[in-house]
Amino acid sequence: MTAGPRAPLVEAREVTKLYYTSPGLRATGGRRGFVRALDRVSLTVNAGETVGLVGESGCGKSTLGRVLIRLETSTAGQIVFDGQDITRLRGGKLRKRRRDMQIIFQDPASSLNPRLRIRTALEEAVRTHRGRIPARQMNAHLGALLEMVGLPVEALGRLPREFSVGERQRISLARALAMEPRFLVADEPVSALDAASRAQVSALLASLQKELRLSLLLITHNVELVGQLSHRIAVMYLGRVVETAPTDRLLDAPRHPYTRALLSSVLTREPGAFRPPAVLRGDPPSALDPPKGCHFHPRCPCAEMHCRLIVPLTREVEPGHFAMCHFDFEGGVKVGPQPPPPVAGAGP
Amino acid sequence: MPKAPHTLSIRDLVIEVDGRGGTRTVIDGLSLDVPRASAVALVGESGSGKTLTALAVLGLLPRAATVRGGAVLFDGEDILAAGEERLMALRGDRIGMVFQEPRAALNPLKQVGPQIGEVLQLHKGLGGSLVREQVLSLMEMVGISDPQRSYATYPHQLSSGVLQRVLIATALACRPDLVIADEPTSALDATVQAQILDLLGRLRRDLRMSMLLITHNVGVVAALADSVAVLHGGRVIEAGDVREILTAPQHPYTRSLLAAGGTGAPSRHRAAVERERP
Repeated sequence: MTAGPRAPLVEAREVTKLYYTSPGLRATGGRRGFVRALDRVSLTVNAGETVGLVGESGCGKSTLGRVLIRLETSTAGQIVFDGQDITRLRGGKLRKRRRDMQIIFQDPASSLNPRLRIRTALEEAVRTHRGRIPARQMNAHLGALLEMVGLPVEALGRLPREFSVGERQRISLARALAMEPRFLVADEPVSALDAASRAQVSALLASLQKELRLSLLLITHNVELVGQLSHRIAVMYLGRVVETAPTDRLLDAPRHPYTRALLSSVLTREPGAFRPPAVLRGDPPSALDPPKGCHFHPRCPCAEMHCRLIVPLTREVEPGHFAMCHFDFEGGVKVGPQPPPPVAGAGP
Repeated sequence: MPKAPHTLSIRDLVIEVDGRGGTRTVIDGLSLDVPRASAVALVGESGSGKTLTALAVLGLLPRAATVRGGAVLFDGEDILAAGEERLMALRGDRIGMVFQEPRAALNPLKQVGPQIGEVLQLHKGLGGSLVREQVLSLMEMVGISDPQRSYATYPHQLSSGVLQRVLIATALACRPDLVIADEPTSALDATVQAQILDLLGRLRRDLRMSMLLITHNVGVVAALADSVAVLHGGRVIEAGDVREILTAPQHPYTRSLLAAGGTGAPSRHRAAVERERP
């Protein structure tokens, strides 16, 4: 972690994203006809910084990543990239901006065209970025890209199926980097890989992020991985960012009861050391019909009356450490501030 | 009823699988004991034959797989020699099963309550309100909140965590002697995984069941198992108490398996990760 002031590169400001549900889904309990995938989410990724975004499946992590690079358009709120509001950018202007932001997905097999040789796939990306360039320059560029991700130049003549999953993920990384982006979203980049290539690809991501001074948003459900790669961690639960803090602060002194539950659910390899997460009860509610007030209150051991009614504000509990909870915790014990009195008709 | 020393005893099992590349011996002389009221984890990498072994115990091997030798003794009775009728009487009654994907294991067109009740009707001959009553208490036992309401829901209306609880209720409905759990939490989120592991551990002890746990996750092994058998090259290359195997593995393969298998625990050695770059 490097000290010093960092300039925000990408910002989500109070972003909400609704997905309208089909009549079939509506019958399963979503009475409202839409899913609030993101509920007034704010998140900043600074220049040259890795932010880890963790949370369980369906909590909106991937939606946030996609909204940030404008693969999806938010329903409300603002997306700011390098000082420019890109929330409603369209056409050529959006295409131009897109070069600065790239994404890699979980399954490299489905993000590479199985019929395109690696050379063709990479050339396409380079041309989009730089226009037509002489063959010799192109070759040098492709060679450099492959070297960056640790693959031999011979790879250019081969097809995706001739590579292992780990190597394919390196290729999609090379293609993303061909654009020379400033912001990279990595959505579960190693979840589909076996243990050995998982370690290699995460090491590669870490070193490239540093060398290229990339801003990296690492989306994963894997607490181990975010701990290794991130400067800061943001925790999401049912469409909201509930806690944000520098990595060490978040792992050592989590403030939100959900973060504590998540961290205490992590298994150890020590026989007999397994303790069930005492702070948890019940099962996660459906995103189609989230609870009122604080989304976590049905599973939260600290919840009180007003938690069921009022959405907590996000407070800065310490410099750089934000938590979205009515209470404050010290060493896991609930302390002030005093909860606000319940207001009739409050809540979403 | 005769009581054999072990609930399950697998002796020199050999299984061949026909594939496009000819016949392959996948299980090659595997031996394994599951003592009474004890949980044994069978670990190994994907494709090592863990699940095939479990299917052999259930008499559910796919057509391409053939048992070429050995014996599978359940409570002293040779399962491999048992006929289909006998197997059907054992499965679900004295041997329960919990699989990785609860959504795939349940009938999507049948409400979950009656689906749990099916085993009770089939094996215990219960009917009507008696089944419903038992199912509701089973649902309560596995920690499903509001069993009355959940009874009449369909699988697609429930989260994977709740569905896994439903599957556990089905597996335990007849109080089996042996539960086979094949990657029981691999499809679940971290907090739900911890809750389900806690549930399985408690129920196993309370009901004094034996368990054959199949997993590749060291954390799951540490949480649930009493002893561990490591499967490699079609046979058990190392077996013993869970403490011994996890803290002082003898076989080099076990060591590399343990080193590679993460648990999902947070570590923050960014520098170390960067050094590992090939």
